[in-house]
Amino acid sequence: MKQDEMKEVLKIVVKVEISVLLDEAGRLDPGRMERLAMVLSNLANSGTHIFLVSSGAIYLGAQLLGLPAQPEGLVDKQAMAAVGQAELMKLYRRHFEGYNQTVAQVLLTGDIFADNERSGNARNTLNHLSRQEIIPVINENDSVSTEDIEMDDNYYLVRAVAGLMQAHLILVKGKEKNTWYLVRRGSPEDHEEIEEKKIVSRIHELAPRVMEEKYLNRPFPVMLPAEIIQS
Amino acid sequence: MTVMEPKWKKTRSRIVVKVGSSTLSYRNGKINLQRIEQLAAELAGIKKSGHEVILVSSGAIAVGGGLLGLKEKPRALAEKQALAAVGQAELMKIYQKFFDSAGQTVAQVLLTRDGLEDEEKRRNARNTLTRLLEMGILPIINENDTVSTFGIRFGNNDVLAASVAALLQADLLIILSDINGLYTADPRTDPSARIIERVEELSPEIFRSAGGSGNAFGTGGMAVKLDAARITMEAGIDMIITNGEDPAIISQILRGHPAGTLFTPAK
Repeated sequence: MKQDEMKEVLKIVVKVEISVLLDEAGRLDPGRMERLAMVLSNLANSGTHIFLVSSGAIYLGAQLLGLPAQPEGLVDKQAMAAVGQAELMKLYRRHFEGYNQTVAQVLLTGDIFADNERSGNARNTLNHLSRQEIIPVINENDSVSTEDIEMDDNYYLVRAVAGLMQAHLILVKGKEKNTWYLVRRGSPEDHEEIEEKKIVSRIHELAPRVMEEKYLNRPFPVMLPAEIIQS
Repeated sequence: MTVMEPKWKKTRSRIVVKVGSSTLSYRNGKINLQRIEQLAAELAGIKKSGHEVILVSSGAIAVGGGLLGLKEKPRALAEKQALAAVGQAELMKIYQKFFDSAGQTVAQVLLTRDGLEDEEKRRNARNTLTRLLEMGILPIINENDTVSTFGIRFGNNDVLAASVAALLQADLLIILSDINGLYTADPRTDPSARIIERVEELSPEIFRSAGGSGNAFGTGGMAVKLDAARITMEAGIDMIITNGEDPAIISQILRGHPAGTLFTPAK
């Protein structure tokens, strides 16, 4: 079949902020995480490669240790991240497993992206996981990072991963249930709100356009559109 | 001309729905979770509105292949059976998850052809399925691929679904496929091809139409769907073949909207 010969696979970086997985009381909502696992497993099944960038290590660490969610010192933060990252992966693994989707943990630091050899290595690892039909769950390696790149809710990391992997689209989970945003390369205005059940059809509809070389030469917007951050 | 109102257009009827692998998976062979979720919600809704629903589902081999990371369709029977053994459990897990969210209990029933051959075995299978329906449970039936060998196989789930419909004296069998129905000619090559809306007799002409349409689609193609139609028509049961892309078509059919091709025995 012609489709199998297509060398290029649609690559999507998905951004999930821990706050979109919390219930009204501020606790992690298993229902939302379950939904996320289903939507992303389905999108992967439809023939795309997904790179999930998820925050939440510090939040979950604080919750497990019974400490305030916004620790003051860097060391406190890093200790919490060490506890919470393991918990975060445990939860992701459990929910994705229900849809026969394997996930893997990849922790990155900002300096990787500045170094050709190290970034090449990271790219190879991520590509290898994708080819094995595994979804990498990427986070900042908070326990060893000395500078805080999580300032803008991980968007820095999302954009860096998108650049590294030559991703075609960024998909951002919104705060409201069923609400997602699709961010395209080019102008910040080139984003759209998208209903959960339309994700697969919309992305495959966009595929021919976003796989053109002249599209791929454009960078993703430096900042996420305000509408998405505030949602 | 007055067409008699079919039996299944009433509030309480017994409906068998068959879905094929092509409806349950993407073109790359991987499972379409969204489609299964919609199907589960649709069937649970129909059940709640008072109908009895039996689902005949393929997909075990596709799910098994995806799970084991196979790139190609298996060919050898033993390999298919091994994949079915892995995949059937996973398929049921996924069905259970989505039906559970829709508030519907399901049960797995695996059949082989020899299990429906003699009268005692038939009675036994019928009793089990009827009991499940009485308990408000939605049975999900598949061929027991792992032990079926040549000679005892239904061979395809269209025939299995028709046999189940006959066994349970269902009012209607709906076959959800990736084709819109039975065409007068091959719609891919003949622009004048149109859907035959109603078939009352399996004439040689009908078989000619089936030969020219959609054999490359799905697992069985149209010819085996006519084998299924023969079984339902002999049992006095209506059968509809339609596109399963949007599972909401099932409740539309039950509300009386025409869809695909209706095979209804002439009186």
